Amino acid sequence: MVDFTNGPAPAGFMSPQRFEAEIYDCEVEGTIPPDLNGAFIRVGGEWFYPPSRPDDSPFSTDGYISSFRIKDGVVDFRARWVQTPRFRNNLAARKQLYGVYRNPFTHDPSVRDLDRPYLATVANTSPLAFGGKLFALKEDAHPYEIDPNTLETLGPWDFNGQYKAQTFSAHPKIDPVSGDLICYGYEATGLCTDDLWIYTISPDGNVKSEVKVKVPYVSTLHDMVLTQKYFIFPVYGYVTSMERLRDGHLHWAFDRNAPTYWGFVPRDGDGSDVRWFRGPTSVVMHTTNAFDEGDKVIVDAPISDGNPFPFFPQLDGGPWDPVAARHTIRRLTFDMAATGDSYTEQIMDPTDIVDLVRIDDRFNSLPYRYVYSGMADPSQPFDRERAGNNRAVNTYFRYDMETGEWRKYFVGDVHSLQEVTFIPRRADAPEGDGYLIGTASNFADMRTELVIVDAQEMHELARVYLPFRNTPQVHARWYGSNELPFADTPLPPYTGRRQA
Amino acid sequence: MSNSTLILNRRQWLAGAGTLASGLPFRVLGTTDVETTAQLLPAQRSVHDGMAYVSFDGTGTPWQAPLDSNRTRDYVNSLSREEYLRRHWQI
Repeated sequence: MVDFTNGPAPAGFMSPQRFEAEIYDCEVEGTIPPDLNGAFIRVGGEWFYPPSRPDDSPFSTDGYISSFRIKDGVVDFRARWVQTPRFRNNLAARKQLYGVYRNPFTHDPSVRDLDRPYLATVANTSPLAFGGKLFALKEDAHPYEIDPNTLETLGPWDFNGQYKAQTFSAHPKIDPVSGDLICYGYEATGLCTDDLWIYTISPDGNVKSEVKVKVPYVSTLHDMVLTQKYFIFPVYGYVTSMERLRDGHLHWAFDRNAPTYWGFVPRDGDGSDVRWFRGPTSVVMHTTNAFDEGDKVIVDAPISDGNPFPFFPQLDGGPWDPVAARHTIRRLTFDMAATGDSYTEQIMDPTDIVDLVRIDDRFNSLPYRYVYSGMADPSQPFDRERAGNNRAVNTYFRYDMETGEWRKYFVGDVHSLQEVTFIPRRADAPEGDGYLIGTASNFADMRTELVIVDAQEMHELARVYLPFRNTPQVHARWYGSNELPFADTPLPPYTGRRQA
Repeated sequence: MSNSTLILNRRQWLAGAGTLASGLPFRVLGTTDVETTAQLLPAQRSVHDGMAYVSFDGTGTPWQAPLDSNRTRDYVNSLSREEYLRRHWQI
């Protein structure tokens, strides 16, 4: 029997829906730019069966992938579960077999496999398109390949056996100059190991290099940045150990005394030449961009001074600190010609932003200008009677790193936005000329809406209405028809009887 | 565990979910010796950046369901099933 009564969200907008969905020809208001041909692909998760313990993290929810396929101004929607071994095992047992976040010691003995923790992945974090394939990612396992048209799960992918690490980041980077995929796995050789393995993979899917690095302490290497000279990895705050896992805790706790390290690995090096810089405690869950500037390296990221996730406990047992959890746009400068291990950190603006920042990806690893993300703009109205008291990310913004100018788009007074994505208008369009796309939760009408916004003028061009609230998103990306083999005619053939 | 904690069964939730929302403390079932300060406070269903979780340290923002979706609750509850069907379904 399925019973969510004691789950974290037994009712309301956040409660699980548990179904897969297809909508042919969605309801649209406004005009979708006719040059958009591709799909906005979201990956997130929800509980198919309730968590086994109330202190588990939302990051343990079952992976779910959805697609807004856009072509010729019309939209078709599809959503499917990612069929990981964990998901299938739970279905077979008709109950939750798995314990708390990335701790196999807490799993049911029938699925407890300490040597293969990746079998318990939920693939719920991020989509990736590379080499004509679509993947659902989570940083504790290999990528799960997904059919880009049906969203059926095709299974884990190891690049024909060339990718040796046990894990694969949810935030690999594509170098816009070479077209190569830069990806990595931390805890690469097993639970709580200090191995970071970095791979460069060519567009044809062949591994060009493998670099092995030891990290200062085992932590969430959730994201990285790239320049044309370096792979760069932040190590920060969250800690784990086999002892901690044996004691039945979640994989991560936040150590407010742990320093932040930034590791620089030359892209043509072998890992023995890694250089670590050290700074004060922070969390760099996501990054913005990085680039070389003579002997200096500039790294931009939305950084908080403390734990941004209240469901990952403090190591010292103290309460979560919501003030330290706030993110601001920051610029770090590393002097590679100097001999010390310090760096400078500048807060570009004190505004509290959502740390799911994006750029025009054509400028990844290169000098750039614009940052996009969401924020809770207190100057805009929020109808708490109709929408409840959830913190509302009511605004997408563009921040100019050169001038400090803000441009904003307000979505509505009963809405909260998920991560934004930038789409260039054309392949050769200047930086910032294009569209913003993302989904919003409409709390009052209990549905999900897709918004498409002019990225320069910041006004809405079109809104797509789903007649239901879709599964929460972690990350989403836009992939054009030149990146994935989308079907031209998604209308399925009719094979049934007809009246003569 | 606080005396104010409740165990709600599914039927009770469905009957009162809108107004009870997620702010009420509830008893944590099957909890092992998890992190720390939690045991001193009632667990509370909370929401953070669109993600539902259970707060154990009193810092969580309780989710409150929109009133709009429950606006007709009292009216509907005041009617007998027969009267509801007669008025709204012409049965």
